[in-house]
Amino acid sequence: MAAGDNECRMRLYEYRDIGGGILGDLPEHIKAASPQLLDIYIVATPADVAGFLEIDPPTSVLASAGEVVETISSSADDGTDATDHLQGISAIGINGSNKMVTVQMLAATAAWTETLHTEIWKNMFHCFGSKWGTGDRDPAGAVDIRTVGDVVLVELAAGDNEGNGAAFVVPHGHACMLYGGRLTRSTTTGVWANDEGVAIRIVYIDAIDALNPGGAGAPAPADRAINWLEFIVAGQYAQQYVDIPRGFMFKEDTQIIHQDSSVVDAGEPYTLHLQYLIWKK
Amino acid sequence: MDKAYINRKIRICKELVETSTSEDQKKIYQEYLDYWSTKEHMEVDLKNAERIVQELEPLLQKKLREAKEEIEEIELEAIDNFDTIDNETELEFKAENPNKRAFYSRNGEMHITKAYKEFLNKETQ
Repeated sequence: MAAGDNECRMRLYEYRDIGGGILGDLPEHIKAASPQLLDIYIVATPADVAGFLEIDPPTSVLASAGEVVETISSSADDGTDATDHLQGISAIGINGSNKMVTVQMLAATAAWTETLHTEIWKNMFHCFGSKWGTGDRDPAGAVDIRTVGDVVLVELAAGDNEGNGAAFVVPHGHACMLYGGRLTRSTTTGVWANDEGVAIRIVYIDAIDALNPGGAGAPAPADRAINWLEFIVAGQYAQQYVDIPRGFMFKEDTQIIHQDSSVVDAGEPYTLHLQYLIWKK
Repeated sequence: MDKAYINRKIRICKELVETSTSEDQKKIYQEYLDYWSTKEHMEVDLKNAERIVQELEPLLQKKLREAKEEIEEIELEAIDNFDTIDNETELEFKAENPNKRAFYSRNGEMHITKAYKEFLNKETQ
């Protein structure tokens, strides 16, 4: 992966899908709320310069009171035909009931022209291919999820089943806990550079700092309080991974963005696995 | 943008406005409807604008030519006026070089000519 490239896989697991006793040590009241697990797996190489940049951002941020969206493919070979390539795309976001959901949206025509779907979305974070015909197991064209005003929110590139988007918002009326993870520094040469490393940030913007600045009394972007958790793996002789601790809490409506940077000025590949537990208060 | 596409968008937005279940949603869809309605008008306006530009182009070219000629005349006049300034050195230069100008005008500003500059240098040595 070239310097500055990054790819995020985001998946949302419902309570029934969280296995292996992962939630064993949680208080009963959280288990009783049937928490969801948002799993984020990032493979990336920071740019060859020290400076934090957002990892795999969505094409546009949706922060809406609730609206339906459209899907469309740039290729006539995606669509409903049995011999087509991509037939369905799934999106992760917050629906009109303030619940984090994964929703599959299916093409309605043989050549996937703009298709209006029924789910109401307040935010959309990520998308991925989820249904295929016999033509191929990935999209033939670029497949977009966009607003009715044609603003693309997240997208699949042709031939790529994993879309963009690595940021999310804690749904209103919910609590979110960082449920651990691991930052692992990789090497393409078998040698760990002593004067280099990888740094990542979990940036969280509280709702009182306004996700959507504007309106009377809302803080200007320059006045917003931006907080972050930072994790670094660096040096030649140190352990080449960091376990992300669990337990850090985020309030409802908090926006969470992931950023990376090289420690000095040479981007090194790394993987970042993060899990967030989300439950209704 | 294809007119049929815009019309389809307008139809969808109207349906969404009518079937929206809250005031907030209605407002969002209304904004989209306004957006696509503006696009429709823009398409018409754009076509009109193209036609108007085609009709006006010969007239604009003529006006442009006239304006250029007028500017040239003003510049020449300015040079003549400038050259009549009673300056002894300049008069000496004119006497030595009857066919050369001491100054020229470019973009409304007066500049000294190379010949006059050399003459001045020679004078000061």
